[in-house]
Amino acid sequence: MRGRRIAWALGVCACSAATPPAVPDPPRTELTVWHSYRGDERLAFLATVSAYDATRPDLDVVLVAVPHDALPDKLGVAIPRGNGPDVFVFAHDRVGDWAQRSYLEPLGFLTDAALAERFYDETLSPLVYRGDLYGLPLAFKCLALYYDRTLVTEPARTTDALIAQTTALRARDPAVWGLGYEVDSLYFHQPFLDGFGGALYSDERDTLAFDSNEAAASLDFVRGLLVDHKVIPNEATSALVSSLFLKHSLAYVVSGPWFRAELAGHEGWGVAPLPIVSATGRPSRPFLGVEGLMLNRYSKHKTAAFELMTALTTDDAAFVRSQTGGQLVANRQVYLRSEVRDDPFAQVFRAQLGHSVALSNRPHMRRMWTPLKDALSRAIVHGEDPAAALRLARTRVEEGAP
Amino acid sequence: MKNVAALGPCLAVIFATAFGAMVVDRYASHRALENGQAFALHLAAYLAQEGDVAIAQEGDVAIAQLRAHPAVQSAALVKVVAADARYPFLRRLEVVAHTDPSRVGTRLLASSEDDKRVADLVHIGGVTALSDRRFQAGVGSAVVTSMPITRVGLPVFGLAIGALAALLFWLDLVRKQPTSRVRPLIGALLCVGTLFTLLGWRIVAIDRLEGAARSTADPIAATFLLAVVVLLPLVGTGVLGSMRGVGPSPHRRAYAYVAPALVGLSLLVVLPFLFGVALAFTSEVDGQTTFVGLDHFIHILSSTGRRLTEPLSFYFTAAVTIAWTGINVALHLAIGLALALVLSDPLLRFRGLYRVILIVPWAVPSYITALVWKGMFNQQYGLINHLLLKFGLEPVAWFSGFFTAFVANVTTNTWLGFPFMMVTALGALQSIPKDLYEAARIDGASAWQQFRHVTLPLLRPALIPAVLLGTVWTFNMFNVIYLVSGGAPNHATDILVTEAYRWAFEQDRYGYAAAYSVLIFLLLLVWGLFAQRLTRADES
Repeated sequence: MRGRRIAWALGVCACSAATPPAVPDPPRTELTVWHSYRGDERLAFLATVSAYDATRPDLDVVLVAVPHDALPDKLGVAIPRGNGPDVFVFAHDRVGDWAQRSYLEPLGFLTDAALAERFYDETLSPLVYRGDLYGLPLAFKCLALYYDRTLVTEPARTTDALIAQTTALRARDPAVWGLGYEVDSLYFHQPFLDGFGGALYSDERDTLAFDSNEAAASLDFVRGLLVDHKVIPNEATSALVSSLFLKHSLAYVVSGPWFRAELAGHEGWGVAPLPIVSATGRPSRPFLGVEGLMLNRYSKHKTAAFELMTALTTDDAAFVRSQTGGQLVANRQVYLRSEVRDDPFAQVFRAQLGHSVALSNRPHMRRMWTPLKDALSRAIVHGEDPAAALRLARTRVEEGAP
Repeated sequence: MKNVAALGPCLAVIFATAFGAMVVDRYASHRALENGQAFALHLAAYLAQEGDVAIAQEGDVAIAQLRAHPAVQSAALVKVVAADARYPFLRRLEVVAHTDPSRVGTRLLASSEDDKRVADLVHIGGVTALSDRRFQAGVGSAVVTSMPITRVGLPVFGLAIGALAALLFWLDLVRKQPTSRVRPLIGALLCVGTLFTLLGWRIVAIDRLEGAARSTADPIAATFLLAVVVLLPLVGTGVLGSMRGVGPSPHRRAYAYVAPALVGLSLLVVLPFLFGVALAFTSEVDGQTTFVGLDHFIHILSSTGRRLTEPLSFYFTAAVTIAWTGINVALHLAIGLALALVLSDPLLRFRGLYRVILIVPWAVPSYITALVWKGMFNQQYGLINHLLLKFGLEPVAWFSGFFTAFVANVTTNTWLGFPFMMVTALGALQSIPKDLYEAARIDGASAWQQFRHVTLPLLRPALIPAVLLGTVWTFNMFNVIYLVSGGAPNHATDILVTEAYRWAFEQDRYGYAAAYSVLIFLLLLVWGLFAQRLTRADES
């Protein structure tokens, strides 16, 4: 028995001696990226990551898809404990909150002017919080005006023209509606709030200003569209708006680039910049949302992670995301390439980018939505005094109540 | 034997002392870190007042002072320089003075952890805007490279307790006595050791992160402390029970069977619950968690800032919640029972088919049902208003008024809830002996009398738990309220649980929402105790 064991041991030794010494693999750094992309956007992002991964034998980039709604909570659990991704993709509106919580690595010391020049200035500034840059922009989103070409030959450039067109349409056929969007949503009301000269904050010190006369005038205006001109359907939800538009029963829809997916296979639609508010002569500027790559403050491979971020935001990578993923990318040069230059959809949204207001990335912006939704509902839907509704909303925002 | 048992109080004293030492140690560590940072920032502010010319000289003096500070191992005096005029957020840090002279004049390296800490300290000071005068003048900063106090004592202490328990157990086994009173103590010690090892590990993990160390109140640590206080006696009791005596005991096996469920419940229910309770006493502003005591509860219960009869007042919402629960459960019970009575008739044809159809609302996910009903209540295109028009009635703006919105919610939830009562009642009806009805009929009882005096009393044992369960479910029925009326108009139809959700996830006030949830729990606890008495009375 003992002899057999010795024989086995000798055999194993002989085998290991005969094997040529293995060349050790170079150490590989694993970078984890969390994102919420789906469908074509996911494929495009995957392609850009794979392309970079192939050029870096020392790196392993692991992509993890996390549902969009769950991503902030997961980051909130993982990052403070030193875990989580090295890099993640999310909208800029949480930047202030996350910067204050020290989740994000400031990029101001890593980025140089050549890198910053890749992007439209409008897409960089939303990623800045208290003077520090916290992300590199990938894509942007804002609202524009979709129209039905079978109902409207030339999109309205002013709100007066829009009212005239849509009331005429309603007079001809009461089953057709003029304009569709969620009237009690701050996000959708922002263009009119801004067009009438209103704003959420009066300065950079977060002084609330949405209870101004201009803001009240914007509520009156939309109330007029809903009740006096009757061009907006009651209780319009995104599902109802899509359904009416697809049935050619709605002339105009205020929506963002995501609405295009719902129009797949649908003919006879176009997109135009939001109209100028006739009462003031000002453009209606929607909120701008920027999706950025952000760096985990506790990443163990910050240099490699920043290199990855830089590589994923090159013009070539952005072009792939634009063409395969249908994204409105943040890179200037991409809009000069013929494929994008000749795409009216991309060009309209790029033009709207110049007339947009970055959604605030301050932490307490999140506390605005519900009180202002209530104010919009009170004034526009229930006909209460707009000024009083806005004052109540201000009180609630100040006390942090819903 | 008595000598060994006497170890208990001694160990308790050791444990309390070590725990106290741990708390003091942790506090001292944090104070040291804060002092180091505060010192550095004080230096920065001091230097900033001086202007460019004076920086180097003043910096040299300051660095000498910093070296003497126990929490500071190295120091740098840095100047923030704008990297590009077009992009004010691009900047670089230039070293003006350093404890390592070779670093003077160099740029801080992004890849160096020490250099990053310098940058971090600039952020901690809140001096992040280039327009800030202190940036124009230059910023001095210190690097806290290592903490002089280690915090591995607690897990080591936990492991030591565990080792002691193991030793005692071994000694006890060696004695080979049929019964042993020391084993419960050993069990309790093992629990304490394990918990403290885990807790200690947790604290060390927290302390590795500078961000967490700056937090002034840590709900997670508080949860663990609560867990120690609440769970330990429970677990200890269980262990005491399981280890009483060496010989086979019927309870021992029972405890073994219950143990996995107990562990699961502790992890999935008790710990999150305790975390919620701990959170209710904290408030978080700008990433800083602070202990606020009973402030949230006082604010909620005093309905600060609004009338009692106004939406968003706790009392208004509680009244709506109670009305919502009462009406729904009554409708579920009435409709469920009526349908069960019809379906239990043996002469009814296609009984099985009807049963399946009537269970469908229960089988469909509630949020889908809620969205379907919301669509049906749409003012313009909803089916309900179409039907009203067919009958010559005016369409209703369902979500414009409190009453109509409440009706819409109740209708949806009734649709969702009656199948449960129906199935429960059907099962109970089948267990009622038929000869009771025969006897009743022979005695001349009418159909109503049979129902009143035979069916109902025999259904009660099955229906009471179902009603209790239905009450708790309906009380916390988030989906229907949130998806159908969404609280419209103006939060009037919100119930307590949707209100708590809004405070937490729309306003980011998790502490306040946790206090709301604790109050909801207390309300349901009162209801549960009352219901328990009701059940006992029924059983007796």
